[in-house]
This record gives sequence, structure tokens and C-alpha cells, in this order.
Amino acid sequence: MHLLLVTGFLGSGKTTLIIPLAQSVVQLKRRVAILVNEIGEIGIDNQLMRQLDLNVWELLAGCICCTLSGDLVATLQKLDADYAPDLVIVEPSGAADPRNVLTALPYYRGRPLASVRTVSVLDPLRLPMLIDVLTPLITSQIRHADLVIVSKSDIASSDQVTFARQTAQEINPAAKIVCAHARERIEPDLISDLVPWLT
Amino acid sequence: MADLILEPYTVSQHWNLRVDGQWETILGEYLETLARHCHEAGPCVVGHIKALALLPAGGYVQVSVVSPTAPASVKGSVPAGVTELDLALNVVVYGLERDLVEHITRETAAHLSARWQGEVIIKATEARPPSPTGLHAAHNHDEKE
Repeated sequence: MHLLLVTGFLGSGKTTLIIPLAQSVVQLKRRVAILVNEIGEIGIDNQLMRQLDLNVWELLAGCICCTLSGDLVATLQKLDADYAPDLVIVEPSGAADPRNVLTALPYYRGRPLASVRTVSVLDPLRLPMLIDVLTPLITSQIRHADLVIVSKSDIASSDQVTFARQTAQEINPAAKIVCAHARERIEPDLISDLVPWLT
Repeated sequence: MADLILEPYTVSQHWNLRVDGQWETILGEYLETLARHCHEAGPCVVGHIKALALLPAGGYVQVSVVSPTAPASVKGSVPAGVTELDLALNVVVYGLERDLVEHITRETAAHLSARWQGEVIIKATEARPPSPTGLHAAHNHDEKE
């Protein structure tokens, strides 16, 4: 089981990225499960994903980077035992610190994880404000990423995209940085960046 | 960040309006107005305001707003002839207390529905009290950095 952790601030485009990615991997006859953690007792993203016939598991009423970190591990183990996916995509709430999620993973006792890849989705339209006001959270979401995706590149200005790329580069020089925007189908190159084991 | 509390507000609403084919516009206006009113209510950061209505006959409409100045994003559509729908609404705004967000949400829905000669009924409201430890208010990130 491969694990893809998709982090990023609220409204950055995580769900918009995950849906076509999951659909593309399913089309390749791989079993995909999506573990969604939303703030609030009513899940919205998980309802939408179910509407699109995706296999969704949800963690509500808390955050998997703190109060629900134990639930994350337990749910991963149950998911492994009951469904045995090839890929599990974990979508923490946009308020979650990926460092705390990654810290919880060693407590997982299911089949060994074949790979763990962390992606951070950055909204270039709001990044200057967010990095100023919510510095520790946004910084951590970038710092712990293997791949940084600058979203909304179709509606952001070139200056905004450049700022986002430079900010990500400064915080996490080791991460690969790519641009993307919402589409019904996901580009093959982006699939390779997100799930390199698949190709 | 330590100054900005985070008390998300989640609610289920039943909307009943005298409309035909205008739901996407109305719900987009609802969320845009919510974001603007939250912004005007005090120092805050709009995280994400999003809503979803699953339609009994199939299909959905999803609306989201991430800024008080940006237009709503709308996906899906509501077929003609639909005058009622159930809406799940999630309002995540840093810096505003939950009671204030609830008040803004109710008042904005009431004003909008009155304009369309209808009503919005609150079906369920998240009853969970704010975390005594201030869940996500600061997440203690600063201490760990």
C-alpha cells in the first residue's frame, strides 16, 4: 500500500487535485481509497467524492494532526485489512500540520507502506497573506513536502505564481515545484509526479 | 497566528425558494455575502466557506468561497423546477467566534431567502463545543518550531 499525503491550506485546491487523480488511478485498475479529514461534523468533500463513486473513508469532528492522530492510524489499519488498496490518499484538513500526521504514521501496524509521499498544494492568490498571518502552519505544509503544487495557475498572475514558487523554493529547496490548475482530467506528467511508482 | 482563534461552524439547512433555475447564482451570492460579512465583522482570515447540496434525483451543486473579494466557485447544477434543497454548509474562518459566525450565517440566509419569497430552515447545527485547549487556535506550532 502506497500512501499519498495531500496537504495545503483550506481552499488551496486539495480536493480538486485528488478527485481526478483518484479517477485516473482507478482507470488503471488500481484500488484507491481516500481518507478525508474535514473540520466540522458534516463532511462536504467526502459526500462529493462518494457522489463521484470514489472509495472514501472519513474522519470528522477533529483534526488528524492532533486530536484524531490515533484514529488516523486505526483507520489506516482497518482500511488495509478490509479493502487492501494499492493507494491510499490522505487529505488532512487545511488547518492540519503535516509534520504531526507524519509523526503518527510509524504507529501504523498494517502491511508495510511501500511508499509515503507528501504533497503540498499552494494557493498563489492568497499565499502572500497566509504566509504573513499563518506563518508556522503554511511554512510547515511546505517544508514537509516532497512535491509542491502551485494551484490555480490559470487565474493567478505571473507575479503571484513566481512568488509562490520562490517562497516554496526558499522554505524547501529539496522539493520539486510544479504548477497546475483545475481540470477534469489530470495531466500524465502530474500523475507521475504524484504517484511515481505507478509508471 | 496565536491571536486568531478557529471555531468552525457547520450546519444543515433546508432551502425553499420561489425560483426556477437560479440556484447556482443564489447560493454563490450567499457564500460570497457570508465571506464579506465575516470579513467586516472583525480581524479574520477566511479559510474556506463551502456548501454542498445533493439532489434527490441525482447530481449535485457545490459552492465554495476562499476570500471576501473573490467570486464563488460553483460546480454542478440544479435542474429546472427544483424549489427546495438541503444544503450542508461548512464555515471555517480564523479569528471569529462560532456564535458570531452562526449569527452571520442565519441572518444572511434569512435576508437572501426573503428576497426570493422563501425560507431557510436550520435542520441541524454542530453541537460540539469549542475545544477547551483551543483546537487549531494555535496548534502550539510556535512552541514546536
